[in-house]
Amino acid sequence: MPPTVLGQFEHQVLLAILRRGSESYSVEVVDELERHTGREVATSAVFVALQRLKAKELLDDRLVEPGDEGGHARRYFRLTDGALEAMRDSRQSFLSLWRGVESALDEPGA
Amino acid sequence: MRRREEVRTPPRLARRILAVLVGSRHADDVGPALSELYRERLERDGRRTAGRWYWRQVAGFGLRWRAFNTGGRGRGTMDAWTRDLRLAIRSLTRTPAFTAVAILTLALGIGANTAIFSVIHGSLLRRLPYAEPDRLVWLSDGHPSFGGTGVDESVPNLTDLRAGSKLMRSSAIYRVLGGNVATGERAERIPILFASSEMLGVLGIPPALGRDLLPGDDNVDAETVTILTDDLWRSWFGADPKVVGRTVIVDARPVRIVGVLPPQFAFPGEPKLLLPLQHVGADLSRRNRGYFGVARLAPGADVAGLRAELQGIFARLEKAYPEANEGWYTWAEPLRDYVVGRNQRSLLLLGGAVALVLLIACVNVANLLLVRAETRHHELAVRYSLGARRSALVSLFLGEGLVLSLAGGALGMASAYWGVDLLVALYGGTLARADLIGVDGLVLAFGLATTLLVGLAVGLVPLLRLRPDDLREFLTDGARGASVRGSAVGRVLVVAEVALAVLVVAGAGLLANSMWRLQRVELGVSDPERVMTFTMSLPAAAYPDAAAIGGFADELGARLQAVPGVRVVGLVNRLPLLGGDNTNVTVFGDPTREADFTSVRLVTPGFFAAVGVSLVAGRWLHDAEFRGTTSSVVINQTLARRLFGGEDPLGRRIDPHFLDGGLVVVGVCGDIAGGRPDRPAPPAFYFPLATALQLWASQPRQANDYWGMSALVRADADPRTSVPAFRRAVAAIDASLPVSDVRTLQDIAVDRLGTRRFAMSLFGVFAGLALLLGSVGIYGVMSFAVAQRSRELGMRLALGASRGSVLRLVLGQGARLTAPGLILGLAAALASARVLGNLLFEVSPLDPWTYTLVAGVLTLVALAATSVPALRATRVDPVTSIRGE
Repeated sequence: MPPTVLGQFEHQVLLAILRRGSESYSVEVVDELERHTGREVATSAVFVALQRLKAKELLDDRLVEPGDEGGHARRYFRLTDGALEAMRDSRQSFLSLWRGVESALDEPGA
Repeated sequence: MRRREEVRTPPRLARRILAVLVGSRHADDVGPALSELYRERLERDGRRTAGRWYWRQVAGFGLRWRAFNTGGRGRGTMDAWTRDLRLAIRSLTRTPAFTAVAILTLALGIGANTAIFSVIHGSLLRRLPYAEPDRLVWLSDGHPSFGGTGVDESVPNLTDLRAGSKLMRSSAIYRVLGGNVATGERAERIPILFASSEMLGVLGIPPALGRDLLPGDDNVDAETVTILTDDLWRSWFGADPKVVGRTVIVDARPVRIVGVLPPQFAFPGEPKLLLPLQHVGADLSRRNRGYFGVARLAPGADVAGLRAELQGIFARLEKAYPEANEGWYTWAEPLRDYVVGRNQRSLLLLGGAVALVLLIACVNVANLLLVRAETRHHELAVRYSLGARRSALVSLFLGEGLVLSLAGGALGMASAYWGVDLLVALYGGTLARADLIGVDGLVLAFGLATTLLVGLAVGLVPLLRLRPDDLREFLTDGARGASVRGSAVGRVLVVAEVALAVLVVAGAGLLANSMWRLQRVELGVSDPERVMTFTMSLPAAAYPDAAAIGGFADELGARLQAVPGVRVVGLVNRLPLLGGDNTNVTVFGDPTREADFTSVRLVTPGFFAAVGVSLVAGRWLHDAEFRGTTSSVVINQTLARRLFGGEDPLGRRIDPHFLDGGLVVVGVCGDIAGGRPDRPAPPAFYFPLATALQLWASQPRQANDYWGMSALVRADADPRTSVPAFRRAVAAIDASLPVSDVRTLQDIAVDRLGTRRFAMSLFGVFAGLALLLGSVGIYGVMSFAVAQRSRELGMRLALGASRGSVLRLVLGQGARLTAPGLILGLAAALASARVLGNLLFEVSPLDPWTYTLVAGVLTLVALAATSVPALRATRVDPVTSIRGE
């Protein structure tokens, strides 16, 4: 099976889930992304990404019914083994592209 | 509890839209998550920000979610749509003549509507560019002799009204006057807003640069300062940010610039400069009307309440100062009404007329589509029998309607874009806020909305014909069973079309009749196109006394007379045909016989010949009377009639209240029309300028005073060619004196018809369109009817019917189609003509001649439209038409 190519936003969504621990649901992903990017994230983009990642079998999901305290059902997402592999590839290709040109990021005169 | 819950949920409408967007399968998932995120933002950023965030998210779902999630299904719908549209385009291009006619028809309708809407939007609907404009009130005066309100008021009266009122939060006194404005490089006569220092505060527009006027600026002996409009700042000073502190010359006095107004500032009369009135401490007469007020209502107050309060105060002022205020009353109205009021009726009428034209256009195209559907019956029936669902046929027709309307709309809006510029160029002067008129986003949105609505309307009408029963019947019966109901719908449409056309044409007819009468009203001047006029204002600072003004007048008269081609030159304080400069005149020694609002005209010897007014009795003034001092006066027929009735006025004395002993009437001349085209000529007297100047020479003139002087130059040929020479003549005497309002007497006569001319011409254009479209409709239906009956007609001819009888048969069918429309239209016109109101002049809204003429014109047009297919019917070849079956 050819390696799954991740889009940048998909990569970010997977990272957000990874950072949250074992599994997380949509609201937590949105919060995590906004906290780290410092920008407003379009929730629709997150939902679309979650569905697409699930279709690529990079995410598993399960529906958790609300407890006694009320609320609503939440769909929790968990990374599959394939997800970790795809993230590793994606990270690797990024790092190798950066190798040797990091100095461009140095502040001028520093 | 519930209330609190309500507040913590996202906007309900947005939630509903979201539910529709994500569909039932995901609603339980997405909805609660988004609500949770909303609550986080609610607590962090507040309701407004959170609400906006939620809407953004919903919009995001609208864009992304459907594209991704409905996948095949959504694309399928889109595919079906593009397929329908492609099908529609293909079938429309197969009938290019039909398509071109339909598109042009809709383009006319939509284009005309878009253009008129942009005029209405700019001139009428746009908010005034002030803070809370609905709270602003305009204060004026009223007098029965002036036909109501809107007359100017005096400063002392306005000051007392302001002081006594509790319902005004703030107020200001103003007048807009032309002033001679000069810098080192240029001198022009431009409108100036002279206002008390509160003005900008009342309007709620602080200067963009520098400072506002201060109460100290109002004092009569304060240094004169000015605030530039953005327009003047840019055009004269190149938007120089350091303009504050510089000096301009206004009416020969140096004036320091203290500020610049923001670009959105606008004021009736389009002033370019704001100067303080400097009325505090000035000795102003209560009889010196010439000012208006602007006020901002106090919280809780309304216009009616303010009006009542002011009228109470004014009743006391009338008692205290009867010589100035008797018979007058004070008036308050919303500022908006004053600004846009003069156009409102004609613009709304035009809007109505143009909407009718669009309706006719729609009916027309619907009719054409219906006729076309008739000819495609076979195709449609086959589609239906092959399993095409009714919804597929619906979208096919809707597709055709939309393609036609979109093409027509694009063409129409493009022409509206240019048409609006043309309208403003032709009639801008007669429209309020003409500078705001143009095609902008809202106008385009209006055009687009109209287009879509039209597309739906014309697309759906043919569906009235498309009941499954009809189609089945058609398949089994062939052509014979068709068109029974189709032609019924078609007939109704043509009747409606004719009726609408009659309505528009009748309105245009009444207006044209009024215009014709207005233009025939005796102006009292001869060959006005030969007389060039222009105006100068001599500032008191440069022309302080009678000698200076008289010297200027003498020299100007001589220099103008010397220009080649000039026959005679007259100078006057105010031009004829404009109204203004009135006074009260009585019979000397008998104050009961008086004529209010008599025009005062101070003239030089050439005036009467330059205007071309005729002498009715007595004699003209002698040259000697023009040079020395005299008490001789020439009066017009109206003044003679008002003061002396049937008695001989010659040798009698009149008292205009400026000369002891009054003036002796030596001649009576013809009437010259005044400023209002729909009013009879005002009373007037003509008195030598030289004597008048000597009378006033002793009176001190205020620093910002000026003496208005207009020239009338009658030439042998077209006087326009000599305008540069006239300008040189003025400049040779005083290079800093601007010349304004350069136009012929004929131009003045045309301009005073103002908005009427605008309304009349456009109504005429729309009536033409209505007639054209109506005749196309009749022609279309009759052509089709003849085509349908060609077999029957051929049979008749084969059986020996004469061509004449066939012609009569078809013409009769056309008449049965037109007559009900004509009758309905005339009835509707008679019932609604009253909305034309005061746009009519000496024409009753029920004027029988106009309606007879309209009926005649419509009948002729209908006859012409019917005769073409009727003649075709007589040429039907019996053999071909019968074999065709």
